[in-house]
Amino acid sequence: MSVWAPTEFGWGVCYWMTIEGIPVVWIERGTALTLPDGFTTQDASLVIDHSSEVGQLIDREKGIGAGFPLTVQLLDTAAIRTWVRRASASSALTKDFLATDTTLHLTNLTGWPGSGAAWVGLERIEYSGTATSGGDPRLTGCTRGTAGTHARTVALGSMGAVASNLPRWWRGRQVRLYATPLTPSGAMTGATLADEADEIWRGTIDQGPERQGGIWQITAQALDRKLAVKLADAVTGRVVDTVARYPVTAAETLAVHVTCWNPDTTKLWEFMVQIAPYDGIPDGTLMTPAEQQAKIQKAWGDAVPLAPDLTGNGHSCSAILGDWTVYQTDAGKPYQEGFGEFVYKAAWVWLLGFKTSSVPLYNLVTIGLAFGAANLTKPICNVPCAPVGPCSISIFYSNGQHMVGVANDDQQILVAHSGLAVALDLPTSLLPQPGTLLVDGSPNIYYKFVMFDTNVAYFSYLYSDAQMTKPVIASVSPDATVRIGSTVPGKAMDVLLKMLESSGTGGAMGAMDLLAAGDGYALDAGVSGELSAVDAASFAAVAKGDLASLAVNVDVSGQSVEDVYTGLLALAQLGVMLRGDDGTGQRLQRIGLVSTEPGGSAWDVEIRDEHLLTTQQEPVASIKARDVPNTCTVTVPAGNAPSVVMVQDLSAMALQGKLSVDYTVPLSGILPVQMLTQWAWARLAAGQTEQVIELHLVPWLDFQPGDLVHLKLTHFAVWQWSTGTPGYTGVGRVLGNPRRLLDGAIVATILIDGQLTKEGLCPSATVTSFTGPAGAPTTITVEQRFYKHFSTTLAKQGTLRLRHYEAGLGNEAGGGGFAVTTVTDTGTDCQLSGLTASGGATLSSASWLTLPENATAGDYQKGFAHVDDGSIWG
Amino acid sequence: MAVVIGTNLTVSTEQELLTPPMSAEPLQTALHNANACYCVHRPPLVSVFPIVRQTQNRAISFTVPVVPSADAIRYACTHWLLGSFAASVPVTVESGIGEPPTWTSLYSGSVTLASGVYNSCDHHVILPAPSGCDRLRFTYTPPTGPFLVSSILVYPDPDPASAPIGTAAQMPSGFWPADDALLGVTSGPVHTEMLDRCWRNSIAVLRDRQQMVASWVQADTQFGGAMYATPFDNANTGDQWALVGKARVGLPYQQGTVLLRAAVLADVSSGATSKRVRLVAKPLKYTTTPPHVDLDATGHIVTGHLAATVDGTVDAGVDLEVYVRNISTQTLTLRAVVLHWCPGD
Repeated sequence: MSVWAPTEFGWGVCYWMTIEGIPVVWIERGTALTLPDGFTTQDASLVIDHSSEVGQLIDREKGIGAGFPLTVQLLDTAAIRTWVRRASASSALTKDFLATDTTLHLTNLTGWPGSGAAWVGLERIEYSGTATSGGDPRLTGCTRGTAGTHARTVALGSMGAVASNLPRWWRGRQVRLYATPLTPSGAMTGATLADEADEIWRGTIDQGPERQGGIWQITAQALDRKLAVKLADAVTGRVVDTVARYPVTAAETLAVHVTCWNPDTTKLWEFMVQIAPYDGIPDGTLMTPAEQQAKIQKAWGDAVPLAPDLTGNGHSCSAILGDWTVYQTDAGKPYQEGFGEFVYKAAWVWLLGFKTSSVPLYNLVTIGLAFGAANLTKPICNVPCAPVGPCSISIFYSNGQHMVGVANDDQQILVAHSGLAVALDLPTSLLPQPGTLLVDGSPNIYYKFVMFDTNVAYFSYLYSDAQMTKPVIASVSPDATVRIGSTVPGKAMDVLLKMLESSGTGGAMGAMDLLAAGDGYALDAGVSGELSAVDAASFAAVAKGDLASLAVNVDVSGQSVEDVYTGLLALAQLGVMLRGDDGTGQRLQRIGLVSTEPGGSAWDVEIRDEHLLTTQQEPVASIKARDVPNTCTVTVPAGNAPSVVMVQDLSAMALQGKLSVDYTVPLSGILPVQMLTQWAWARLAAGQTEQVIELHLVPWLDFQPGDLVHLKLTHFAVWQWSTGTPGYTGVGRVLGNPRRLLDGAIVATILIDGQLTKEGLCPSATVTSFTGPAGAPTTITVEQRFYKHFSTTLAKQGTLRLRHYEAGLGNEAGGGGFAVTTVTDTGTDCQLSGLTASGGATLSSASWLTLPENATAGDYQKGFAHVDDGSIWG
Repeated sequence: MAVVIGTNLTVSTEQELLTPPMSAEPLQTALHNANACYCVHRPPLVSVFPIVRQTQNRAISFTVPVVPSADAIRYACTHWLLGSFAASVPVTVESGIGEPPTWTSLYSGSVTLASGVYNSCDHHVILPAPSGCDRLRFTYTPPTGPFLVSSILVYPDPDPASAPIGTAAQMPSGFWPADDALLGVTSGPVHTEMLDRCWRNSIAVLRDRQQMVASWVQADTQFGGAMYATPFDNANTGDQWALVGKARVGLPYQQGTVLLRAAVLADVSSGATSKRVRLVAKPLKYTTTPPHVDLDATGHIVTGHLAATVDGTVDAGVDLEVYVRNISTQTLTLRAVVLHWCPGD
């Protein structure tokens, strides 16, 4: 039950507010109730009288919520004065402060008490001690993320890398406004302040606290407005060269085991040479293949003369094994002929030569090759050599990370090694990995790895496709400009959730918190808890079918969710917005996915004439609905070569003139584009007489944006196109529900039918089991998800009638039906009881239950799709 | 109106799908199509060009691992043979299950050959569900002279007039015949399950009809021994992988990783049987490590899954490479390698 429900009976509400990281409850009047966890004091200074209405409104053409801002005042109390002042202790960090750290290293501890609270960025930290040993001043025993904050990583070099004993930053802190019920006598109910409270608004501080006369004012933007805020910009730079560089490690070793066999299977000679070419070089040093070659050749040259003939035949290793040479295979060919099919273009080929014809070298030479600690005993290549004369074997070797192998050895890995060095315009070590390179005049290049040397970034493992299956050589001119973006491939809703959740802390905000810092909004997607800000389950529940599996490829750099997703959401008739949600067990404002589709059938709340508020204004007003186009263009960006899908209704254009809409969707692949054509047609097929109305309503109606409501209005300002009369009876989709704080009144925006009516299909439930005789069952069990529907139907109609059919058995029209008097949620199933069979209904393993035909259906059931009921498919 | 199993698909026009009134159509057409796909989706269960000596003039048989429909449906078989004589060649088809297999005769017939001409033998068989059939054996017994078995094709061809097509509860494959009767009831409900049944049936049929995407089959027992067996020309592979064949596997429009069911029938004369056969799925363009699967040569059907990496284009696919290895004390004979694809895997 909503906190507003009792207002119908003379109750009221008391507002209170929290600010992320400030352990104070700002409330309209003092309370004896226990404060929420992490909030230690209260201050009766909150004034909401000057705030305009707050709440949400969805823009169907953008698919993004446009929540209204909140402006509140705080009286000039002693409590507020303790917070709006300069910190008495403030010290810079001396080490990166990771989200999991419990020690905070500072330049000094001047002014810091032995225990207390510290603020770093937006985070509030409680520490239990201090220490200075080793010349390392620090706060110890840190409890991270207190008073409604999250533990965040703060890197040195950030303006936030300062700890203080009072907040330095206010902008960006979450503001959360709650309402707790007040009895008609003015008492607050519940065991704690939060116990029966609903969160009614949530956002982040945009301005303030600022002095306004003698009071303090805070202005905050709704949380869903963050989705229009652009994420971190792409880094730019200029190409230095296209030479691949790879890190080497001192411990890296290369061993070659060469054996020459006589035809009688005895060994003619055998050598084992092991070298550590990078010994003494700092780990991680970047080296080109040519530099690596020089190191390998040097180490090889030193080691070969010392290698004994393990057969005891006394052959000289130096006389048989030659040098290593290196070259890069042809970048223009997919395969380099003559070196085995596992050699790809531009791979680095290392040739180990066999030197002389003076030494017996015939039949089979087996080569064991190993890097590091790999097993040397297993020969991995056989080389049939000419009876006399030199020959060579190709060894593919790029670097220690990616040991490769020898020719014709299908067990080994070979990768095309290519690279690009870019001098960055702004030095940084926080480039996305993997990511995208947009080079002047070239198709996108996708890279897997990046490494840094001062302000030069070295990109390696370059591909021409986002799936990273097609290695490519960067064919770019030195000095070409490069934009380094963060490209996120995946399913449409997964990528959207990644943008919402990602904080750079690897999963702290939720399962999709996977992107780098700056590439997401760092919103908490926990399934429970007060901090949860994203209803991740709604994305799976609402975005079904094609949209759930749609493959996208999003360049998030410098873009917002609004920039990237509006086209897709608008075409799919979906919206991402803040809404009151009970999913965590308490009514919280969380960002979720809702439908913005006109029409439907499964409504909960009915709005009637007596719910209209007429005291301050006309209670019903018409709002312009979105245009219905006859041309729809969908652009799929793909680097420098976007593809465009356009559908045109030429007949309609001839009659009504061109009305066009353009969408951009970040798709990947071929089939989804074909699917988009169907969506574009659906956009053209929208009803041209759709109506959007604004209703001023009593506070106690409980509905949220995206919900379906049933309207039963006689007001002249709304029109029933199906009958051509004033008033409206039918289903509407809630697009917005802003609420005036002073009196709780709702200003609802609702989408209703025009000439076309779209209804939901009748639900149909498979009978999972039953008790009693098949022809006169005592109970019938169906899936739990049908409980909501069947119980709602029973509540609204007083009776629940269900048609029975046996799927596939050839008589689906003659299965009879059941009248149901009781619907029970067993916790795992939906159970129907109080059953009366009719029409010879007899249950079987093929039984299903759906709604009856209109002749025997109740009003609520008639609102669902029935044959020839005047509604349309859509 | 009731259960209608059509033999053709009816494609609705765009005009029929633009805001049509809530009526029987276009759902009724979709339901009929959902039923019709049971009959019209006919990917090959067996598509084999057997490796056989051209001079073969004795009885020859091929054993091919299969995964037939769970519904025990009818399949069409076509055998193409080339003879050097004009006579009738007996043809038999048997299904087998288990190790050693229990064979059941499915078909005994014949094809009349004319010298120097390709002739076909076309017939139907009803294949048991996978629990009763994991392989098919095709046997040809010429009365005289050399002949060539050119190809064998087996594909689903359910009989619309016979069980299990028609009225039925949900079939083992997951297919559930669609009934449009409720659409004929005055103001009858148009329910979600009708719409769901269209795609559920399509998916059920797609996944039930596993399709052979690559094959390499040679005779079970052949005069002079199987054509390909290691050691090759008396040269052992030294326990190293030796390439014996390649085939291109087309997986149009598939993207990412596709799992192919690999089945191998191979045996060794003695000694080690573990990981004697390797199948490699090489992407058509570039890759890092080509996925592979190693299978045993036990004389039984050995199965595994081979991951194919494909790019989603119309020409998506991989090159299958088949390798074998033997040690010096054994002979390895590869009888059959087949890849079946279940859409969605």
